[in-house]
This record gives sequence, structure tokens and C-alpha cells, in this order.
Amino acid sequence: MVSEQERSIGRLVADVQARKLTRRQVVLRGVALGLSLPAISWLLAACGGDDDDSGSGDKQYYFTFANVLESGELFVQLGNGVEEAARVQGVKFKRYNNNFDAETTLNNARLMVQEKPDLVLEYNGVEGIGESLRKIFDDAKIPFIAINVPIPGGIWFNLVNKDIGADTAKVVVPIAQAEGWSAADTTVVIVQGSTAGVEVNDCVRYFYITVADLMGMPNVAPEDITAETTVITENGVQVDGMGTLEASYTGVKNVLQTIPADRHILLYTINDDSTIGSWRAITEAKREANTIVAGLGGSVAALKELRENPRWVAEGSVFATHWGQYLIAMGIAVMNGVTPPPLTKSPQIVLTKETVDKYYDADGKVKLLPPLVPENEYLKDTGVLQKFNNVEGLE
Amino acid sequence: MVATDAEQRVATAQRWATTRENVAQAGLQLIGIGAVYVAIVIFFSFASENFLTYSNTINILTNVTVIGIVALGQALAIISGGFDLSVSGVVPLGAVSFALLVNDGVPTVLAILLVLCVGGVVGAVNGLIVTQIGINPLITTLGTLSITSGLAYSLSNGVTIPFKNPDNGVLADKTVGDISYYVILLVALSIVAFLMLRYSVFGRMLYAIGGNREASRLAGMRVNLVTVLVYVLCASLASLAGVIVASQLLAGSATVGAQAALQSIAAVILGGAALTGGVGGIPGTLIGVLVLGTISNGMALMQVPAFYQQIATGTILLLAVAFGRLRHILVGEQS
Repeated sequence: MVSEQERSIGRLVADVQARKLTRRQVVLRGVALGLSLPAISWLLAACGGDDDDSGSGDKQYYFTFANVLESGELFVQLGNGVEEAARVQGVKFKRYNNNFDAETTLNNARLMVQEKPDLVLEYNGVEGIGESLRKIFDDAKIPFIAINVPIPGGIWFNLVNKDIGADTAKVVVPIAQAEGWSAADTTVVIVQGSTAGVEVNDCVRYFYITVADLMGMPNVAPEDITAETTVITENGVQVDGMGTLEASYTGVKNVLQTIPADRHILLYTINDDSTIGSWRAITEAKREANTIVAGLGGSVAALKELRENPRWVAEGSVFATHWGQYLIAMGIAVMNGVTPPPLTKSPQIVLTKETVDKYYDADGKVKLLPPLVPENEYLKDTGVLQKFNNVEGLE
Repeated sequence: MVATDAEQRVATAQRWATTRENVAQAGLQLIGIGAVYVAIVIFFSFASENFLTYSNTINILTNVTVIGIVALGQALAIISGGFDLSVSGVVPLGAVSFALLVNDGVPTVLAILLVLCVGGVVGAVNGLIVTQIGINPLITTLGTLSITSGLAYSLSNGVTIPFKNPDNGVLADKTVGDISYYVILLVALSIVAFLMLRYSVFGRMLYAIGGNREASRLAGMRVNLVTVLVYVLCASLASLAGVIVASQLLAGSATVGAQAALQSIAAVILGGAALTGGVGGIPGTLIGVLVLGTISNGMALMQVPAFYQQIATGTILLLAVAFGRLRHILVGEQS
């Protein structure tokens, strides 16, 4: 009669012969089964030279990652996602905390190049120091991927705020028009973050521009909506919500005093905190029946609003917690000699009440990621994304 | 030695003269900042047609309540010769704690009391460090600002915590007309603070300690105990402000109240207090809060970009304080 341990050893040998395991996994499972050192050595020999499957077949890569901040759920989850993706891919990995601070970021860059990694993943939150970072990495001849904030000379991975703002407008406008709203009786309220920079605020700028196009409102050029703009046109106002709950609440409360109560409002902001604060100002003014709102961020609170609040009709999601698998795939592509496009687009989609359940479960956890697009399609050739089995249309 | 009748009469006369001078100065301060406020209201009334309306008046009152309540505590701290930067951490800590507690099913009233206790503990820590270890209030409260702010982020994991049950935002409910409970709470607390400062022994001790800490100690006052109590009151009021802002937003967030320390100190100084202590009062503080809130509201209605709003607010603050200083010098010369 075959014991359970013998069956386990049999499965281990079969997995080794099928090359399903890394050398580390062989050692761990061997030790767990109480195998002797010679037996584990024999299994390792049977494994051959593929120490870790890091994409190249014969070398374990070493990536370092400097996270923009290691506090706050979003950034911690993003960092954990990158670490987990590196582990799954068998990439040696080390993580740093830039602490949203220029000096710390530069210090981390110097520390990372001392480690001589094959590639650096740099999430720098201070736009002005890009040139200094480029010099550090270029001097050390280490390729680097800039996350979110571009670095001169680097490969760039980011969401496209402009697209997400325009796509949200395309969802919102038909709903407004179905309710009989028109340019004559509708005001667009966009809530920017004046210190967040042009790229981040592109979402609200292009939201207004697209809404204006679709609804026949007076329009302006993108460069005419700046951080200092308050009145865009007779149909559009911009509030500075600083990207926070409280400032958005106060800012929208004040601007509502200038918008006649009988006008309809299309509300869109740069992130979910700002949208939730702005929406609270709308409800406090008892104007929710006359307002359509769309969020951006895919936070748990916003997804709940999208599911339950009839006036919250769309939610832009950039799946930042899952950026890790794309970043590791990108790193492997670079190691394989691929030249990525100037911008590798992160997964992003505008969710509606009809599609939210396809991508998120009831607890706000990601179930599925949107399909690859031309700006990130090359990542599928690395085979990394397939290991996670969570990208729509990718087997 | 027994004082003669003549000496007693002189002493009494001197006390009355000092009291008259203090009342006159306080009155002048109030008139001064009051005049500045009236000028601001007149300016914005002409500048924006939406300014002098019933709904915008309510809007201003609701906007200033959070800073108003923080400023009440800050006024006590400044009058007693200290100040409290940690309010910028205690407000978000109060907001996040309240959201977590009510979401865990703790009854609203009990949750408010628990949050007040959290604030009280922070205040006690501030007070004990200042009095027992002798560390400057600036350094002490800067340290606790960092700790409390970090705690707020840790407790909330950096994300906004919406109330599961919107009824927990009871403080933001409307009561008399369109006025929320929290506005009435600000008025009630202001009256209590005013009466305490004017007519209670504790209040008079605050002025004495702020004016001359060592002389107060030699006069037999329990200076350290009073100082600890002041910081406890200040932080408790800041945590209450956190409850209010969470009630307004129906959510707790670690990002709220970041400007609470600077704005509350500015309001108290605008209201005629001095950072050296011993001077100041509640009516002036409230007008200072209104000045800041009205400028912010008026400029928003005028669609002034946020960057210029900051510049204008700072300029008006400096002008008002300089005006108060000039008045103080002129009154001093006359007397």
C-alpha cells in the first residue's frame, strides 16, 4: 500500500520531470517531505539549469523598485503587487520607499545603482528631479522604467488621463441627453487639483472638452484650461479641490452658490476622494436629482456609489493595484531586447453600472483586467501576464 | 504689616485702572477686527451678487464651523502662553476614529465621547511633555502632530472611510431652518468659553499664566495643572472638530484638517491675541474665523484662482495683524 508521503514524493518527481518547478521550490518541497540531502541534490540535477524562470530561460534577473510612498493603501498595494509579480516570475527583487520626497528619491536611486540591478522600476513623485534621476541611471548604464511621472530618457508606464476623461464624457453625455439635458440648461463642474500637474488634470480638461463637443457647448482649447482657470465658458466652471475630500467639498459648496438651482450639473473630478467630497456638497445643497456624477479611481467607496447611487453613472478605473504584473512584464520585455513604445499604457477602463460586476467583485476586489490595447499589447509576448490569468482575452 | 486706608484706596484705584485699560483694549481690538470684517462684507457684497444671500450666509457659517471649534481651543492655548500645532493631526485622527467606531456599530453619542477621550489623551501628553519635561510647545506639538497624523493614516490605511449608515452624521443634520447642529454647537461652545474666560477663576488664571508664568506660580497658582488642562481642552475640541468634519462629509479621511493649525492660530491672532500670551478672547477669535472664512468664500464666488486666493488671504492677514499692532502702539502711547 502506497503511503501519502510516497504519493507526495511521486508528485514532486513528476513535477520536476515536467519542469514545472523552480530550484527553490524543489528544495522547499523536498525539505517539507523530509527528503535527504542526496535525494534533493538528485532532484535539483534533474531540474537542469533553469534556476528560475525569469523570462530568458537561463538567467535570473534582478530588478529594484522604488515606490513613490510606502504608506496609504493604494501605494502599499501597488508595491505588494510588483513584489508578488516579481516572485511569480522568479525575478530577484528589492523594494525602496521614495517617501514622496526628492532627496529620498535621489538617495534611493544612488543606492539602487550600487546594487547593480538589471533594471530599475522608478516611481518618482517629484517631477522636477527627472533629469537628475536620468543621469544617475545613465551613468550606471542601467535601464529604467519610469512609472506615472515621466523621466527624460526612460521608458514610461502610465495611465492616459486624457483618454479616461474623454471616455468618461462619452458615457455621461448620452445619459444626460436621455434625460433631456442640453447645452442651454447644463453646467459642467470639473474639480481639478491645482498642484498635481497638467498630466493628472488632463482627465478633467478633456472631460469638459469632450462634453462640450458632444453637447454643443462653447468649447476651448486644452491649453486654455489651466490650473488658474475658474470660469471655462458660460457652460463650464473649474474648482480647485486639491485632490482631497474636504477641499473639494468646500470648493463645490461655494461654487454652487453661483450656479442657478434650476440648472443641471455634470460633475467630474480628478480622483474618488475629490468626487465623494464634491458629491456631498451637491447632496447637502439638495441638488442631487439635477446632477450626474462620474468618479475616477475605482476605490471601494466609489464602486459602491456606482452600484447603488442612481446619479453616479460612471467610474474610471486604472487598476493601480495590478500594475505590478504589467511592470514586471515590461521589465522582462526590455531584458529580451524589445524596444517599448514611448508610453506603455496601464490597464484602464470606464466602468458603468452594467460593466462594474464584470471587473470587480462585491467587496471591490479586481476580478478581471481590461483587454490589452496597442500601447501595451507587446507585453503578451513575454508570457508574464498569462501566468496571472486575469487579463480579458488573454489565455 | 497692615496696609493703611490710603494704600488700599490706591491699590483699588490701580486695579480699576488696569481693568478699565484691559476692557478698553479688548473693546478696541474687537472694534478694529469688527471694522475689518464689516469692510470685507461690504466689499464682497458689491463684488459678487451671490455673496449677500441667505443661502451663502448659511454656507459661510457651515464652512467656518470646523476651524471655529479648533480656534476656540487654540485661543485658550495661546492666551495661556502656548500654542498647539497638533490640532492638524488630531482633527483627522478624530474624523477617522469616529468613522471607524460608528462603522463598527458603536452608538453615535458613545463614539463622540470616545473620540473626545482620544483627543484628551493627546492633549494630556502635550501638556505633560511641556510642563514636566520642559520641552517647548512648538517642538512638543510638532511631534504629536506627526504622530497623530500618522496614526490617522495607519487607522484608515490611507483611504477614505465612508459611513455605513448615513444617520451617524447626525451632527450635520439641519435643525433650526437650514442651520446644522454643528453650527449651534459652535455658538454654544463659544458662549461657554467666553463665560469661562471672563468670569471663572480658571479663565482668569489663563490670562495670568500667559502674562507671566513665573509670577503666577509665585502667586500660588497651579501653573502646570492649568497648562495640562488647557492642552487637554484644546485637543478635545480639535477631536470634536474631526467628528464634525466627518459628519459633514459622511466619511472619515486622514487628509482632512491639514490646515487646522495654521488657520486656527491665524484666526486667534487676527482676533487680537498675542503669541506671547496673556491677551485675547473668544469674540475676537470668532470674528477672526469669520474673516478667514468670508474671504475664502468671497473669492471663490468671484472665481479667483486658488493660487491668488492664498496670496490674498495671507496679505489680508498681515494687514489686519499690522493694523492691530499699530492700534496697540497708539493706545500704549496715549496711556
